[in-house]
Amino acid sequence: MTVVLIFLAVVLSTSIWWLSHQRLGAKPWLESGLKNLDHGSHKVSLPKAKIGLLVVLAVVGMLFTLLFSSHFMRQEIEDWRSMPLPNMLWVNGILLLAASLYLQSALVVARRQATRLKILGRGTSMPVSIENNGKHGNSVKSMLINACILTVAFLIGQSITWYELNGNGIFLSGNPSSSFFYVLTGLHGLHIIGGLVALFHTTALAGSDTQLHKIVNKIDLCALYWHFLFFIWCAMIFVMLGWTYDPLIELCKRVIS
Amino acid sequence: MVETENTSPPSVPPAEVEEVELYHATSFWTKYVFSQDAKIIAIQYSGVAIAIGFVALVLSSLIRLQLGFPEMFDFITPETYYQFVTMHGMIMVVYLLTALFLGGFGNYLIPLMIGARDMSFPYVNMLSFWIYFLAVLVLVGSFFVPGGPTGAGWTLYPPQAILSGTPGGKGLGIILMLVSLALFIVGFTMGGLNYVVTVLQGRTRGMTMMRLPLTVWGIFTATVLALLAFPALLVATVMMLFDRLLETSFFMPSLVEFGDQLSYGGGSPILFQHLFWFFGHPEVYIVALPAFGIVSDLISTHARKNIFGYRMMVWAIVGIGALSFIVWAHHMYVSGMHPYFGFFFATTTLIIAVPTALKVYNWILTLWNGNIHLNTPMLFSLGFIVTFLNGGLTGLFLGNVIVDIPLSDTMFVVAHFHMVMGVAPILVVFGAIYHWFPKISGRMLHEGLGKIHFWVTFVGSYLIFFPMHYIGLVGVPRRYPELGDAAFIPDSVATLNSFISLAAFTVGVAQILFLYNVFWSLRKGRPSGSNPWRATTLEWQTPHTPPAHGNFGPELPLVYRWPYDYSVPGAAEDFLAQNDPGSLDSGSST
Repeated sequence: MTVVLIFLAVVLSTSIWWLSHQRLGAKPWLESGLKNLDHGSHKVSLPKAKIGLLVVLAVVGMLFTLLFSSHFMRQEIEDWRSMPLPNMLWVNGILLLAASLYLQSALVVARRQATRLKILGRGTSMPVSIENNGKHGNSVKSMLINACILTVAFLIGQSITWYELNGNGIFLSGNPSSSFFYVLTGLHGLHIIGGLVALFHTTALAGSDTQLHKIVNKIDLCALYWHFLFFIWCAMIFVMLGWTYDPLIELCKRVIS
Repeated sequence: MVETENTSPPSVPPAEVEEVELYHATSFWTKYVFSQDAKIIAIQYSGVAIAIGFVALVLSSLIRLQLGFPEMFDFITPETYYQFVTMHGMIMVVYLLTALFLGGFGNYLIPLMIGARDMSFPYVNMLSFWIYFLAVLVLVGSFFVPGGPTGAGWTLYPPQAILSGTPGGKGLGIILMLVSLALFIVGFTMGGLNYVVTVLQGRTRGMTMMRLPLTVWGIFTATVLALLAFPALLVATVMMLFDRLLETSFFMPSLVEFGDQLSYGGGSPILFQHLFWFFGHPEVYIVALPAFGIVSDLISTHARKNIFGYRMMVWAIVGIGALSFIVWAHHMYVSGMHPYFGFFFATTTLIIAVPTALKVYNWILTLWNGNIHLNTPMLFSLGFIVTFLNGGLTGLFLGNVIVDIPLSDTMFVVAHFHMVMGVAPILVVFGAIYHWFPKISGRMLHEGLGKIHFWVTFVGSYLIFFPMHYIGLVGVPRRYPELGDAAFIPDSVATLNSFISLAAFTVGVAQILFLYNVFWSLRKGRPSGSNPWRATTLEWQTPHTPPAHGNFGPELPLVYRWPYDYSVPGAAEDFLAQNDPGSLDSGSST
């Protein structure tokens, strides 16, 4: 359970760090009035959707770290046989990384566009379509579409991986290492599908007349979710490679010696 | 229900709080069924939780029928007995207490107490209830499938949970149980997301974290715990479903069943125990922390005294929450763990007693020299403090490895966790209902009936669970439908068991009195006015009782003070509401 406790420690220390900025040492029975309460730490400065997403990511993180912990605990029982990871996984990883990067660049461009409009005095509250704002708009939209395509390609790639493994006789109910492989990748895939629904929605909005800042916020959320799922994916591969992956062990040994 | 206008002069300055877009329902369906209003969702959550809780209450009576009068009732076989025990435990812990405290009280009280119009994500909140409802339906459905519900015990330990010797193990029972739990967790996560974000983001101006009523602190911290702990149960549930349906071996060791070698091999039942208790122990505090918070507000209001040590109370809630994640293995002392491991968990377990005891001291010091009104909510609160203390004391026994090992799996454990996690929180639930019913319905619950309900429930619970400690100490194991003629069990155990059963039936019947009181008072109860308890928190200051859609009329309240200004010298009444600028609105200290 070490992995999950480390993750939990990170989540709890972040929460306690935030709480420590909430004047937990105040003596509310001695203070009345509204004065001195409005600056600083009255509310979390992030939009509520982003806080919501951060909470969801903490929960998703717990889910995966618990599975990682279970993986490590199960690994110690002698019937465990590590399975070879299909090479296709590396391709899939690059696809997901590319999708994540596309979302990040879409966010950067959309933010720049929003700032430009603000400087021009047009504000962000008037309906402005990203699409109709020159090359920036088009590039945001196409970046979002690219991210969608790459993510769908990632999912297809993952399915091909499953198919290949099945063809090679590595089934869900075989050795526990393959059971964990299917459960982990399956759960990760489900989270990606959930995210795709939001990404499709955002991409569709980017084409219609919508308030720019709303789109920026939505792209921000999608980008954060994708980065997180890419991070989870990397952690997942690392866990499944484990310490049984010879080249990795060799490399470590060489570094140490 | 009765509508009451708040007659107190409006002391709310013009709104300086950012308004939120509020969803306005137009039809009956969107207003009362698929409602996005947290107050309606709260009532839906509470209604379903209490209804399924009554099922669990009936199950407990059936359990007591068997234990008190073994071999007298043909319809209770060992199989059905295990099913009753399992479903009773699971329903009470998860589907009643968790859902009622967080889904019920959380939804009703969080927006009202922090001065928000609604939850942050009302649509997700609505989905949360309906998924919970679906989870309950699946659970109830398992009573009607061939083979009946699972009888694996509420801990659902593998390998027995999915073997054919256990009721429901090879049928649909265990599958429906696991699916229902998974649904519950998904639904809860949606709700929990709302509670956390609303407390972080939805507070009205002036409502700092250190001006939150302790009820909100309790529910907020419990929600954070639940969000982080329930994934462990989800992981265990999913993996067990795979073991059951797809013959993986996450938890299943290689074993022979009725002479047949099963296809499982190598799995670790201990892994399941770790996952289960990683959820299971925080679950105790998921139930206890809201109870702590509510009780603090109840005794402060009904003793007309500010809460003693507010800061300590907040820190203790947060501290207990954090500690509750590193004590889980004290449920597994007999699983063959390394002695140092047991030592570590015994230490952390006993450390939790420090913030918990601190809370108990603070409640007592709040009551000290208070103007105690011995009305029903106060009686239930006092009942809680005493019961929690009793349950906590036996917890010190069981937290120590050396004492726990002989007591493990005896009725002593059953008595302990029923005191601390069954009776204590339920007393708070009742206290809270008697306290907030006037706000929800506009009418008071009948005080006389309430007091009878309290005394029968309180004294009855002690008649049930005190003798059970003794039964456990002489070594009677739990989970046995019948004791037979074991030499070490004295005859007095059988007599005591019959006595306990009679007490249990009495307490069970007393709950009908409570239901009657609720339904009677809804129609004929005395109109309560907007603030019958002269309480300070924002929910009592709404312009309408019951609060209208959007809670606070055209302008949100501004908060000028903490929630415990009771018995204030010189105040027009003896209290200052949180939104009352009073004479001290200059920001200076008193």
